[in-house]
Amino acid sequence: MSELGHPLMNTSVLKVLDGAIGSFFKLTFVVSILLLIGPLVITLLMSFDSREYMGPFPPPSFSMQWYQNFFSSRLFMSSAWNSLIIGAISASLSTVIGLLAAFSLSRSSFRGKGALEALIVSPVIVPGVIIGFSILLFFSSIGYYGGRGRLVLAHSLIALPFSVRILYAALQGIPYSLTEASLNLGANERQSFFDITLPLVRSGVISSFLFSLALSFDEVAVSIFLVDPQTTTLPISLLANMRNQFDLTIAAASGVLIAFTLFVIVVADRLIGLERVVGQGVYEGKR
Amino acid sequence: METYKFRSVAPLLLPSGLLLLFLYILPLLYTLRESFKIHEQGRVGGIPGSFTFVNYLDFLKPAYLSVLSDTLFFSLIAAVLGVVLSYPLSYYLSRGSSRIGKKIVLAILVAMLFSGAIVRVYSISLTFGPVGIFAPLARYVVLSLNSIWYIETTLVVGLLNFVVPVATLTLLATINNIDPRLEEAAQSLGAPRWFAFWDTTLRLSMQSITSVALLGFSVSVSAFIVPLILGRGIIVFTTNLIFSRFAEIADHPSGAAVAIILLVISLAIIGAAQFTLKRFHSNV
Repeated sequence: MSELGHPLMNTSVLKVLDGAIGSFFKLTFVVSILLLIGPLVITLLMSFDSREYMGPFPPPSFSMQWYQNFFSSRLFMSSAWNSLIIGAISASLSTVIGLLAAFSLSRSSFRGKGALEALIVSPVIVPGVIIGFSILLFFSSIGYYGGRGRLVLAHSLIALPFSVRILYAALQGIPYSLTEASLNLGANERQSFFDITLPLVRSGVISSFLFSLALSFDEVAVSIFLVDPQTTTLPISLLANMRNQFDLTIAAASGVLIAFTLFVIVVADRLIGLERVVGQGVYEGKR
Repeated sequence: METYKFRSVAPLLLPSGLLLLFLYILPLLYTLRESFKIHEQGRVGGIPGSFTFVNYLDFLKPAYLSVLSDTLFFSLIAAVLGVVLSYPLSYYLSRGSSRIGKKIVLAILVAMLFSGAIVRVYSISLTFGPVGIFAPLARYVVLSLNSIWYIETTLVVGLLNFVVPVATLTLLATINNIDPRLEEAAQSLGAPRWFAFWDTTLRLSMQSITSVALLGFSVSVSAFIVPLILGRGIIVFTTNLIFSRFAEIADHPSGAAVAIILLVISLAIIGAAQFTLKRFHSNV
């Protein structure tokens, strides 16, 4: 760092840069935070608007009318119910399948294992639209149109890479000596898996399930190709009504979804700790 | 540790294998094949057995190329701005002194990652829309909410909303791995704070910044709802083009060709990110 010896280095002119860069950091910090939560806060406030029409922000007084609208809409309620069922089944499926895959990958060695791992996590990097479009083309070519079934399978596929990563990390955290001890004490492989390994990866299983559920509940790019008039999901029916800017029912729906998200986060924080959700599920997974 | 052979774990890998085969590998191969078929007006799907390059050549028309250039241009802006906005956040999360403040910022980021794309895009369109907080301001400076400049800004804000949380959490790991004492040492040797930061922490995170920018770029390129809603039909991304080929004119071969082009672009971006990341790890 030869620059340090430079006579200019200690002049007050350059010291001013300290303040400037410090202010720049603070400014971008505030901008990013506002950018992230500002719109959500405004939407939450607007969802309680008591006016019958869409008036400018802020609302003069509050009411629950848009929430009543949302909960009495047959379209939104039936699609929310669909989303819950599809989410629960696909999250269970991806977690179980993912656990089997993660367990075998963490305990085996064979040629082409690296390639197989890469293949399992690769759906993450393919844009959802391409996956949805391809599934649609392929399934209609073989003549399969089962509304919910197609969506469940597609959602399991996009959750699988995350499940495998989360569970693989969780399995790596278990000392092999525990399995070894159980085997030495006379347990067979299956007993050892169910009595030792499974209880120890419980937190991984929970975060895999929650993460897959959240993914499925929010999925649009894949689902938009696979829904039909009888089987639609909540995000898709919200999207279909979003262009219509005349009422705030979708703001109320957003309020419900935000509450649901906060609930999931609190549960995740209580069960496994927020830092671990980030460490395992999101940060590792989003790579 | 006892390791198993492929034969003994194969049954456990079978379910994921089947899922990948029937919902991923075969569909993608089918799309590749479809992209070379001839489209016939009024027919759903290409003519079986036909072969043509015309779907790819069609993409060279100015109308399609402008979709691609819009996609790449706005994704690039979102990637660069995403890094600029994320770095201070992750620096604060790593080096900040307030424990409560850090917990709040982390909770916001996690909430953003979990709260739905639909909710976020709707919130932005409401906030920037005719009843939102910027409408009076825009009227004051005699700027139409329908001007291209305003739509572009809204679109970039929407993309940033998805790039910043991912970028911040990725950068956080990098900054956590840089010894804070380097910065202190530089300062105690007489460097002003900005220079100490510049010459140690920022320099050491440079390669990670590159790969995070590429990550943000790939998040933006594959964005679907953001351009669909916030682009308001004025700005169309490649992803939207695929959907409209399917939904509006049922030209599957053309949609498939666009999908393959987008896939190649996405893979190239991820490949570049992996490359810089590897270089980063071999250098540390």
